[in-house]
Amino acid sequence: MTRELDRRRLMQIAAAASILPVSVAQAADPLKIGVLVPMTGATAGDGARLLKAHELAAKQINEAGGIAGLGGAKVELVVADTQSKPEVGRSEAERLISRAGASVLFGAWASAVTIPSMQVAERYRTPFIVTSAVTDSITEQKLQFVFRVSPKGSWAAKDVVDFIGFLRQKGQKIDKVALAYEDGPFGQTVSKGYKAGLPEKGIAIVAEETFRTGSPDLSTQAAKLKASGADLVLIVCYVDDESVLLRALAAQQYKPMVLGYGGGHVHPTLLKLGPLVEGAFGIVEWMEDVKKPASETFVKTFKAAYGEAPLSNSAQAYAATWAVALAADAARSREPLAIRDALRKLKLPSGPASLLPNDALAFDENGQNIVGNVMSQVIDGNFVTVWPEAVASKQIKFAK
Amino acid sequence: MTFGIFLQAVVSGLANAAIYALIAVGLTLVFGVMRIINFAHGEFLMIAMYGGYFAWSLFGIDPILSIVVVTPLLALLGMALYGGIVRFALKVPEINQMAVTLGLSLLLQHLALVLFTGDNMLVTQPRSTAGVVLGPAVIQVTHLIACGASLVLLGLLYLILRRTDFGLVMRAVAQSRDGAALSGIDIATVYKWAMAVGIGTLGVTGPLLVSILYANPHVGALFTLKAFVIVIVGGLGSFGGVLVGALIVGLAESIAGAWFSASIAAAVPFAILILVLLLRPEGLMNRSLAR
Repeated sequence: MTRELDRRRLMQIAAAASILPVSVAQAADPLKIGVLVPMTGATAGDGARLLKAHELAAKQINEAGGIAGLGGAKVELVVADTQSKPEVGRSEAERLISRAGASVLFGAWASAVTIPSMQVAERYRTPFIVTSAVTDSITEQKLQFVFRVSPKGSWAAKDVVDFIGFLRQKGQKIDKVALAYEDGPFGQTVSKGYKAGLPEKGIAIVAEETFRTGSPDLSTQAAKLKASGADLVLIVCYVDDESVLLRALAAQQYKPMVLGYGGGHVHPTLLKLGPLVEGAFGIVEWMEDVKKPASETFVKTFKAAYGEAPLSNSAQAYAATWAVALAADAARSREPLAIRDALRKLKLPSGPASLLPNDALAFDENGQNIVGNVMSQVIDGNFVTVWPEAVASKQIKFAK
Repeated sequence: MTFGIFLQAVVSGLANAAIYALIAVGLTLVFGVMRIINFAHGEFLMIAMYGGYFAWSLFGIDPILSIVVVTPLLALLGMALYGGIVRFALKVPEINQMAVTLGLSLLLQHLALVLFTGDNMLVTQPRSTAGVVLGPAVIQVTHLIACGASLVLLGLLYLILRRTDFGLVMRAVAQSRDGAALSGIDIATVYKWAMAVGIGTLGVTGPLLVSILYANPHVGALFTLKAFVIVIVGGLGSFGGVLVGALIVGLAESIAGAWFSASIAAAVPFAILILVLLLRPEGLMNRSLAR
């Protein structure tokens, strides 16, 4: 009898003991953030790169005393591998929210994986910060919990139009523009934006040449581009084909201005072409030399931590991590809803989250960060940012 | 499309055809003699391209000169391929043979990825951006060199097959394996040499192609499929068929590319393949190596 009582008593104490520390320690509980990245599969390399930036930001936040508004709570990243697959992204998003207790999610690299994953977050009313995917529709569905740090894919056309205007102002003659792109999903999507955006602003596209990735010879395309007499050739392809195309253009004795796209252009391989690419422009979301204090600090700390230079997507992941920590600080809450409201009010013109090339990191009513691209130019064998002037590290160099 | 552009497409098509023929001839030789389909043919091309690249980047050897080093190396690799793998694969059913060479192709690609990373390696020389003007058309100097080398090598191969005892033995085995064996020909040795020559031809193609394109682990795969189309269109195992097949594929692709979008142009060789398989399944030039 007494033994029975003792046992019951013991269990009560044990139960109380197991509850007690939780309620006491709540103030210092970490803020759990789910990170959905591909660590295996086709895009594994990209996931590792994103994660490095998330981890760097989390480390900085924690070393600076954690989130003040949450009593110095640390940021804890809960990493889930999407395996580069949409269905895995969806189920891992569900797990992170319902079982791992994540207050916010980051993810998920490719648009194809991001879209199903963010829909899960929307259903669970948990904020989802899209770090790098560029498909326009992500922030066009009136979703209440989806935010995006990266620009819309179609905004590249707008920036190219503005840049052409800028070049004209500088006295460059750009009357005819030609388009050369690889005939796959990547080239087709971006060039669709160009084809819609440029004529709208009165910039005629006089020729449109396509080619397959891995073509051994682009002489015919180069000859047709030359025949079009374009002053500027917009190129959308992977770096392999760009080197073949630039050589073919040179063999034709045709020297237009060229403007490449994204990571297929701002790529170390291209610089190996030497004088051939000198002066070539490229449109990209962020550059290492973007002239902003936050950007300079980020590049320095990233290089010190990992011994390599960060790419544009690392900058986006870094900015996203800081934005969430600051939102949780302002909300003084771990509740997804409270953090969502704080994210909506966020406006970060300075500090670590402000490294992207816009005035301030802020999300509009659709959760979209209004951020443009920058233009790079190959000057003395290096990619440097030359536009917009506010963040340019060097002046544009014109031929002649 | 103006006449000038059309001429450019023809010139480019001819240059491509010469390069394609050089790649496909090794494939058809191996098939003609051994009746084995080598899906890893493109990967040996990739190895030859890396060979040309490293000879240039490490020792400053011009790709044209590195042919002298890379070709014997590739021939040795061909012998090793026969001795180490194909010799055993010949004893198993055809479907298993295909699986073996297909597996080898993937293995080599991944090994290259580990050893050389996925980055593109470029050979940059003054002539890589130079062009020769032929009326309204321009041919890049690197293409012209590859084109010339291809014609020389194909001619040489033809003479070897036709005029030498070595060629006679090859043709004998291609015609009838058992007959050749009964006449006292050592089949295993002939197979070994067929593989050495078949893969060795890539030792010429690789260094020339890397100065036109770039080397990366997947570059060989770009050509494997096209080489198969050429070989089948021309007639499996036929020397003349390779020339005809390469001309058709090279020209059709290039001219279609000038007229239509790239995706349509890329489909043209395969449309030709289907037509040929339906109308003349033995290939356009079904006189095999043997005759």
